[in-house]
Amino acid sequence: MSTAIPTDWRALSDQEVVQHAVLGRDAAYRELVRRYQRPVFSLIYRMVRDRELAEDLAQETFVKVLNAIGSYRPEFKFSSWIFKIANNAAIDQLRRRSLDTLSLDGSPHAETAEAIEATTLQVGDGRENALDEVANRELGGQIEAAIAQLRPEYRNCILLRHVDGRPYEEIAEILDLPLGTVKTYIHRARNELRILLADLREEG
Amino acid sequence: MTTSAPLHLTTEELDAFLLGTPSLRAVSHCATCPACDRLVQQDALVVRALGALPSFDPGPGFVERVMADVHLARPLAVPAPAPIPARSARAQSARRHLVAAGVLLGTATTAGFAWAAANPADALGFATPALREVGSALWLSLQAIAANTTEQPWFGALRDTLAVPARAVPLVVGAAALYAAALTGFKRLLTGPAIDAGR
Repeated sequence: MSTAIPTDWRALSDQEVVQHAVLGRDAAYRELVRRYQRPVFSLIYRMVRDRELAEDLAQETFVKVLNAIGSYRPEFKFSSWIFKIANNAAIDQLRRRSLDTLSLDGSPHAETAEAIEATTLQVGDGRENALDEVANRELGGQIEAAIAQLRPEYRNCILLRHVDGRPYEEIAEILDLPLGTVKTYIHRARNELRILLADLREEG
Repeated sequence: MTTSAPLHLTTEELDAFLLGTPSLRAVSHCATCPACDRLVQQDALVVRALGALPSFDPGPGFVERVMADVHLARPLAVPAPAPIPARSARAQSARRHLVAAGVLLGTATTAGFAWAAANPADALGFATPALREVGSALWLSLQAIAANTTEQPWFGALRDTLAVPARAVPLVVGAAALYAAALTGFKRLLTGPAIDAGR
């Protein structure tokens, strides 16, 4: 690896950016945060369903990873490492607060209308036209509601597989589970989602 | 004639459908099994819907908040050699005395050899009676040990036993084994205990 400071960080692989971070380069740290803030925050947010809490846990994840960057082993994928720490943070939080089944309607700790609004899971990314947006928000809301009802171990598996598009092997590495268990969890999660979505459609 | 029940799609076959790489068996099975076909369609719908879910961004200033708590790594430097610990004054004094004694002994020995080389007749005049006395004393001691041994009551029986090879060989081998065992035991006695012994 060249020790010269890169002009285009986006062209570098994760491993290369990490090597620059190990040399103490501030820009390399920022690039890692830029690359992973969205997927890490999304995963945690969908696990804990509380925006403020998810921000705190995502911040804690990045601080933990970046402060231990010297101990990163390049034979493993950086994404596996950061998702493992993010997942552990979310699971620990769920265990502490017993939030196994969560509401879509904001944080269970929100006490005022503003707090509920601020912590409600926002569905739709604002790029659709008005009609599409309504339809997508409805479908997205149903799926988010169904995901929220899954057991945490099914939830993180299905999110990593079908929302983040991680391969089974990487999910097994992230969650410290045997490959067969990961496949079983994902299969069961899909079965449950199928049933839950059918129920939600019938209710609608 | 027996007819086997149709084998429905396995988890792997369902996954293969989702990846767009179904096997021929799975495709032909779905063509004749409405339940599996519906399962494949519903699974595909769920997976498509999951894939279409939006990502979320943390609030503004997230990077700065993270960076405020991060300690940048320091570049790895070549470690400086460890300093040699300074000797105490007492150790230095002892070392000086040892060196002086060594030099003195070396000088005396060298001088002795030099004198002997220069005066061989005188040197032999001193050495010969002394060496003769030492040799005589060693020979007398050996004779005394031999006489003492042959006068022991067990000596006759031992000599008769060793005179027959069939009895002598096992006895010698046994004695050697006993000696080896004793040496091993002695070595173990002298070896210090392991650090974690007794834990």
